[in-house]
Amino acid sequence: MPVVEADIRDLKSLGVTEEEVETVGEMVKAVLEEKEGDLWKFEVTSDRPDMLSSEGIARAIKGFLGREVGLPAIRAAEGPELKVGSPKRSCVVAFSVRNVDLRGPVFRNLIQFQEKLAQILGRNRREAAVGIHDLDRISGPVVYREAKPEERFVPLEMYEKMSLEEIVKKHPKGIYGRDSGFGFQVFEDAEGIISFPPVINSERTKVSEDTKNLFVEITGTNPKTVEDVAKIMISNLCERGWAVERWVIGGEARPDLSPRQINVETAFVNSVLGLELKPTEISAILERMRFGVLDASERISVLVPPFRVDVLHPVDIVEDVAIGYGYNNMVPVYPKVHGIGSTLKETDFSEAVAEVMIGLGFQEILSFVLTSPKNQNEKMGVRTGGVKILNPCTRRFTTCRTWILPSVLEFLSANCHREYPQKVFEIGDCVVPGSTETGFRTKRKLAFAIAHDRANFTEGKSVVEALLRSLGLSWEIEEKKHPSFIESRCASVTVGNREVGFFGELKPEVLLNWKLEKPVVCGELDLERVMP
Amino acid sequence: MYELTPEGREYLENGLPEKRLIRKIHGILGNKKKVRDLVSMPGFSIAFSWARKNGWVEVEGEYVKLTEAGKRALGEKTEIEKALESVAASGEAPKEALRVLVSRGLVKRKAEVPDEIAQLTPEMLLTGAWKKAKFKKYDVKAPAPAVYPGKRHPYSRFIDMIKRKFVAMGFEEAKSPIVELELWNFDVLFQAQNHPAREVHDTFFVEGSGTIPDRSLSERVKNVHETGWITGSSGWGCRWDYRRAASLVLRSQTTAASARYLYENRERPELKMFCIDRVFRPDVVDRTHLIEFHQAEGIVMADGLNFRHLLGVLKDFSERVVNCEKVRFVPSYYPFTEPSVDLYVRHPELGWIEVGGAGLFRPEVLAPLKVKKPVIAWGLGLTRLAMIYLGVNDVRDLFSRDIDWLRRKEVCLL
Repeated sequence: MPVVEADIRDLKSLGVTEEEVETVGEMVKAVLEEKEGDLWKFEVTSDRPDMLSSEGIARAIKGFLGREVGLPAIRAAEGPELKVGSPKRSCVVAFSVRNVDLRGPVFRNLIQFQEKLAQILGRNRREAAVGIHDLDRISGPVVYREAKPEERFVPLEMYEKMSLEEIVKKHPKGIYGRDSGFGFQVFEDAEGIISFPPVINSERTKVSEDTKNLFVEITGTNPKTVEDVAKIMISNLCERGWAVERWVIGGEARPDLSPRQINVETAFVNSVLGLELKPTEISAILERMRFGVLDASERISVLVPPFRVDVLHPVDIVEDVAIGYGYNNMVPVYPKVHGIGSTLKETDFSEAVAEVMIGLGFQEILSFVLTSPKNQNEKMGVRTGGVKILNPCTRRFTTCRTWILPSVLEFLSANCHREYPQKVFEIGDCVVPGSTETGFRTKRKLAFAIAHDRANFTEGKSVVEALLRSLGLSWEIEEKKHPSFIESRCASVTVGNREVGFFGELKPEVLLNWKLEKPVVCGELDLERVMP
Repeated sequence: MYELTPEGREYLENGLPEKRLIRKIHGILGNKKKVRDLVSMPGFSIAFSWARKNGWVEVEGEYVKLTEAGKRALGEKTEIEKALESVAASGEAPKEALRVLVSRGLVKRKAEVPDEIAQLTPEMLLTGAWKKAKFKKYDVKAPAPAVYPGKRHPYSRFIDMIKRKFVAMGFEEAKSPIVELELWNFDVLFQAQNHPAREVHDTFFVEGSGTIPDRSLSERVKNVHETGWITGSSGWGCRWDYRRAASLVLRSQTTAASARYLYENRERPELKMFCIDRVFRPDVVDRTHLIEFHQAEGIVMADGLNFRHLLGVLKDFSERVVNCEKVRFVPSYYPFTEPSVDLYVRHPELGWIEVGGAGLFRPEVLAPLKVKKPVIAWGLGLTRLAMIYLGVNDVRDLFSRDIDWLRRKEVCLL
């Protein structure tokens, strides 16, 4: 979940006390995680991007406490025109904010806000990104247009002109953009380029604590996301009483800041929550959650403020009723639902097999399903075809195991300087090719291994036969050729004409591949095939 | 101590064979007898070889003839005979004679009955020898060598115990595949196709693509994502891509199992299901993060279920499974549930800890699955609980490869 830092001095100036932040925060989806001096860190749920700044957190707390209720005043006048060419990154909204005071923690809060919005709601600037400029450094009409890679300007934190192409290649923020294929587009005023969204702004229009008037541009690839980011920013900046002007694009001042209307049945609210609230009670709660209520009847007309982009369905309003009512004020009821508890046959069978193996003196081990072809194939001298993970995060884990014996050997390998004899087993899932909707099947298998100075085929055979006998099976043992085992010291286990497993003495080459210094007799059983 | 063997006892009664041989020869004319008349005598070859060795007889052509020494021997007891009698009487005899008797198999060392018994043997029980002896005193504080039993792995045992709790509460177990369609892992759960969890840093993607056999299901999912379909939702408002839904991932949440189970069992009047299985998510592996870990998941479907029922299940679970009676509910967010809640419990030592998340499945989840009753769902972070119960501070130790730790680790009870 996103983490937001808010300065407690800033929160206080927005009308909430320290104690209120500590106690109410988690009830309105801003859980206080830790404090570093004045900087308080909150974990905010990802459905509420409007809480990614101090203003949003303070607004929710004040509402919950009933200090400010109903729809917040969110107003924005009509500003100048933004001319738009035909950039590939075609979605754009712009607005200006006048008479701001960014001194102290406010500046930091604003910068974090736009970064988090672009990252979380804007999907790492792909769908939407924000650029904030000093409006007073902008002169003449502003245009948003496609650009050529060789066009030049002085980017933020740089002292000389760079071409867009150079920025993409050399600037730290550009390098990130190159992978995302953002394309070339710019905002330009009478003096030149002021921004290369979503990569970098110009040094000329850089914002500081002393900036008095802001120009904010939001660009992206998803029109709804671009508008949502604008709505949330404008709504939160309005909390500070600043004057916002929405720039006119294509003859229209956007985004539309009027609240949406959603009707919610009182009966629906009560059926979801298990409460018996009256329409007036629901309406009072919703006003504390900063909704507007037009009509408090059996069918409640709710006005959703523009920053609540998470509301998709009446059930989202119901959650706010629950939050306003207080989760911990509700009396939990254990549902009287009949059910006969049971485990899967596979679980029961695995447990039975484990019981026998433990009786034979084996220690159970637990390994990862994730593994590498090196362990699965190379060290064993075999080739198996398994899953290929497209985005592995380490070379150790690039596939899923198709057989479980290598997991057991990996364990022995990690314990070759521990006391012998070592007798271990593992029961676990493997992923093998299969004719399913994905082309793969999950398969439960057993592997065991015995390692000591005199471990041999006969000892392994005793174990296999003891297990099969305990499971009530009739079996045949036949000689088998297997690349991991010494020839003539490997056997297949057949039950009802189907091979269900194999075991034998590992080849010295395989032992050395695992850096094992003792002989090992080991085997594997397909539990699915022997399960009754 | 020595005792007579059965052969020795026979010789004691009837005389040594070499003595019997010379008696047979003595008194006959010339004190000699033909060899062929003697060979039929029992034990002739032993008798003859000892008699000759003693110088009592000599061979004359086809005759065996008594010597002067032989004649003398008839009247006196040899050292061997004396020793035989002595062993029979006292169990001892002169060393040299004893050596001969032992080599001839006539006496043997008597089974030792020590004054103090160190190790009780089956023989002692059989002969009753234990009655005469005392048991040697043991130092019960002396160290004994360590032995290691075969045992379940502590974490897999913990998982089995949690399963048992679910079963006791009337839940039936379900399972879903490790390689999963994005459809079941995300789309059915109303996670938008551009949801951050569906990006490369939160989900493992698998090469290849699958198929969605149930085209009407994928059609309903498409509609609910794009427009909200019949649910009254606005949907996500973005185009839904079938190919994306048919792509393969490693299961990143056990909720995929819940969704599959709900769809298969949608006609049942009510159900209670649980699933404990592994999920896979890219991350940097460290003391608090694994890229493969277990989740526990439970759902209840029945008419009339509401949010208070969900809180009831969570509270009950905290008491029975986590053994914590004090709970706190905190508003949360999951794409597939609304309202959503996180469960915190008060642990006697660790204070408030977050143990799971829960909610009522959204209409956008239930409608495409044709589930007509409310469903409450919750998930537990099993690794966190396991670490507390197994006393493990590093999550990687849940999959410990240290055989010594496994050998020494106590069996934990929940």
